[in-house]
Parts: sequence; C-alpha cells; structure tokens
Amino acid sequence: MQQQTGHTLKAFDEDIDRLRGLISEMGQLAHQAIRESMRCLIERDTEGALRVVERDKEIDRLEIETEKRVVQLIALRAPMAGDLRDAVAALKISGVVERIGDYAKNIAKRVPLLDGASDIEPVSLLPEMARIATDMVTDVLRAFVERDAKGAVRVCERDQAVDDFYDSIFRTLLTHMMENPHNIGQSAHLLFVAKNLERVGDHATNIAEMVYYAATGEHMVEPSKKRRRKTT
Amino acid sequence: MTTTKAPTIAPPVPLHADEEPHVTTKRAPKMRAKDISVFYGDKQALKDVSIEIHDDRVTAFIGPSGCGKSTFLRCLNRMNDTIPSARVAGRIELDGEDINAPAMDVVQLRARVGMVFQKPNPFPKSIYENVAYGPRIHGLTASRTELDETVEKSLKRAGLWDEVKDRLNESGTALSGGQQQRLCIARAIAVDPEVILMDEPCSALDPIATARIEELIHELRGRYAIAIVTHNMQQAARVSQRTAFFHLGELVEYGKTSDMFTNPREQRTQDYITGRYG
Repeated sequence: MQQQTGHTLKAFDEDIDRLRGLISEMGQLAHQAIRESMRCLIERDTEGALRVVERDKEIDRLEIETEKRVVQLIALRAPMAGDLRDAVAALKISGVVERIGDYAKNIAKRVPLLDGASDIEPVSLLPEMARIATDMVTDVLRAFVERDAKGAVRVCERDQAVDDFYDSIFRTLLTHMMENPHNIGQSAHLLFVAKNLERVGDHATNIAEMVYYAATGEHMVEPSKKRRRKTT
Repeated sequence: MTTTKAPTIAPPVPLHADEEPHVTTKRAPKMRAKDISVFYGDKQALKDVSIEIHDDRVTAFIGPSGCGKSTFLRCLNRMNDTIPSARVAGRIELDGEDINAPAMDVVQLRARVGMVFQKPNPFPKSIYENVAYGPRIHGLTASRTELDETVEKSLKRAGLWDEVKDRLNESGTALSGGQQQRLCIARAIAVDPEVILMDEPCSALDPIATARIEELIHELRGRYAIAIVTHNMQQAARVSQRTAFFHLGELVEYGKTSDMFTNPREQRTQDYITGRYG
C-alpha cells in the first residue's frame, strides 16, 4: 500500500525521511566499498585496499545510528502499519548493509595476498560480477526509499546472473587448481572473493524481501523469491 | 543405574491480548448488527453498518470525532431511544433476538447490555449502594446476605474491593477518578450482564488508572462480551482482539486488531492509524 500524503505531525515525516536517508547513505558507502575493493584487486592497489578497510568503520557507525533512530522513532512516535513496517525494515536492512560492507572489507584484505594472480583467468570476470551485485544493492535501496515493491521484485530476478557468474568462476578456479597446485593458494583467495560477491547478491535479494513486506504488508511469493541450488 | 530426569515443562507463556487460544470453534456472535443506519433529524450519522460482536473478544471501535462510533455503541443497548430526534434503522440481535422488537423490555436489555461512560458517573450514594442499586431494582438478590455477596463479588471483579472494603459506606463520589470508573464497572457487572459497552472509559483518567482499567478489561474478557469506543489507538491495540474503523458514518474496515495495526486493507484506515488523516 503506497502512502502519498504526509503525517499531520510533520516531525514524524522528518524522522522517517532521516531514516531513509541513513539507509541510502549506508548503501552508497557499501556500493563504493565493493567497487573500490574490486578496483584495488585488479590494479594491485594495496594502499587503496587499506583505505577500504578503514572506511568500513563509517558503515558500522551508520548502522548504530540507524538502530538508535529506529528505537527512538518507535518510542516517541509509536508508528503503526506502513510506518512501523518501514521502521522495522530500516533496522533489518541496516544490519544487512553492514554485512555487505564487511564483505568489501574482506575482499580488500585479500588484495595484498593476491600478488601475481592476474594470470588466473577468472579475475577478469570478477569486476562484472561485482558490478551486477552492487547495482542490485543500489537499486534495492532505492526501492526501499521509494517504497517500490515492483522494483524490489525486479532486483530479486537479477540474482540469478550473479549466481551464474559464481558457478562459472567456481568451476574455472577448480580447473586452475587441478592443473597447477601452485595456484591453489591464490585460487582459494579468488574463490572467497567470488563467494563474497555472490553473498552480496543474496543479501540484496534478502533486502528486496524486506522492502516488499514494508511496502505492501505481504510477504513476497515464489517464484520472485527463488531459492536456487548452490554449487557449494 | 542412571536415572533419567523428567524433562521440565516450561510454564505457559502469558498470552498477548490479541491471541485467541480459546476460539477453537466458530460460535454464534453474542450480538449481530445488520445494516444499521442512524438519523439525528435529517442528518444521517451512521450508514448501513453491519458488525458482529463475540462474547470471548474485546471489540474496539476507533475513528475520528463524529465518525459514528459512539452512536453505534449506543444502538447496542438502545441508548439512542433517549434522544428524541434519533431514529435507528436496521436490525440488532442479542443472542439472535431482535433488541428493537416491541416485546423487548428495554430496562431488561440494559441490564444484559451494560454501559460504562467516558466520565465516571457514580450515584451520589455510598460505594455499597452504587453497586447494590442494580441488583436491587432488578430483584436479583433475595436477601441482604446475598446482596452483600454480589456487591463484594462485583467490586472484586472490578479490582476495587481491596481499596474500598473498609469504607463501603463512604460516598462513591469521594473516590479518585480511576476508582470511580472501576466503581462504575462494578456497578455494571453487578447485574450480571452479558455485554459491557464502554464509551471512552479512560479518557478522563491518568496513565496508571488507565492501565488498571485496561488490565481489568483483559480480565473481564471471556466472561463478558466487551465493546469499547476509544480515541486512543494504542489502547485499542492493547486491549482488543477485533477493531472496527469508522469514518463519516461508515464502517470502513473491521478485522483482527493485529492486522488492522500492521497491515490495514483500506487506505483510509492506513491514513488514520498512521496519523495522516485530515
């Protein structure tokens, strides 16, 4: 159910808008963190990778700020119906976005360990996979801000592409490891990177389900909420 | 030999007001209103309202001022009869019996369908007499001892006994607001009603007295069918299992309280309960 009109109490609108703003800001930071960690991985930028690790603290801080504001909103405004669902969704989404930030940090931490991995073919696939996964995050958070249930469903549908990338990279890396045991260490790191990106896609899907519930009051039904087979 | 310890059974978790463990079978409603319209002179205050009230639930009526919720509540024990310009169309049944039928004794009806008002209105008599009045005029008790028992039982059920048992002869009007309201509830209970109607029973009370009344409503539920009109949506959410939203004389939405406050079907309900209305 969409809400076009504002609250009689304007301060209530401001509180909700601020909450949406915080989630949006967190999403941008997480998006940048993943993209930047991938750039550092491709360009062997270990210093840049350190900065990604450092900047994750900002996402953590915003998560705490979101939690505080949600608790305040519930205590002071006693939100009902769509407002209450929005507040709960914001709280849950902030936790998920924080986790996405952790994946970026995890990828960045592997950058110094991947020196010389550029020969391994799947490296070239990772940036595209990262692009799809991060776009999903950006779009699903836009859907939250705009209370756009259909937008949330569309994000879910894109998760298959991320999973397909992961399956492909997984198989290729296995081949590399079998061909040359010297590649095992670096391939394992790349496998983790790919897994992290795959998880980012899954988290975007989870957020989409939260957005859908917040916007409509109904839980997303199959097949949009598809739970696919996992290779690993 | 090892002994196997019997598994400890966790104590039952207290149920939230919205849960209905005892509603296992579909029972006939205590009261059924069908196509109720009310006119004050030429003005139509209520338009074709149909609703069922069950005896194991608290039903809350919410809506902005002038939406018809109190008018509807008053139809349920024919309090609108006292307003000369009021005209009621439609059918209201109590246990399947038409309450507007000529054979219905209105005094008897109001004993079966009791009412508690917004402002506590004890009689200017002793606490004892306030409660004893109803049973006495309805001839419900045969002896003084029996009347004493009824008074005590009613005051206990209303959660007031411990506070007033040593001063039953003092005036009811000398009690605090919250106590007076509980006295009015005791008075309503004393005639052993089947339905209790409450018209904003807490709007003149402080939060502690309000909490006591709400707790009382919770305790009385199951023993009586309770319908409550309230401006306080949190109160409706706290005490009721069913909520009806009225707007401009129409019943907009009626459903489970938990659904009404988390996912109402109608936009007007959504706007009202989230504070976006008007």
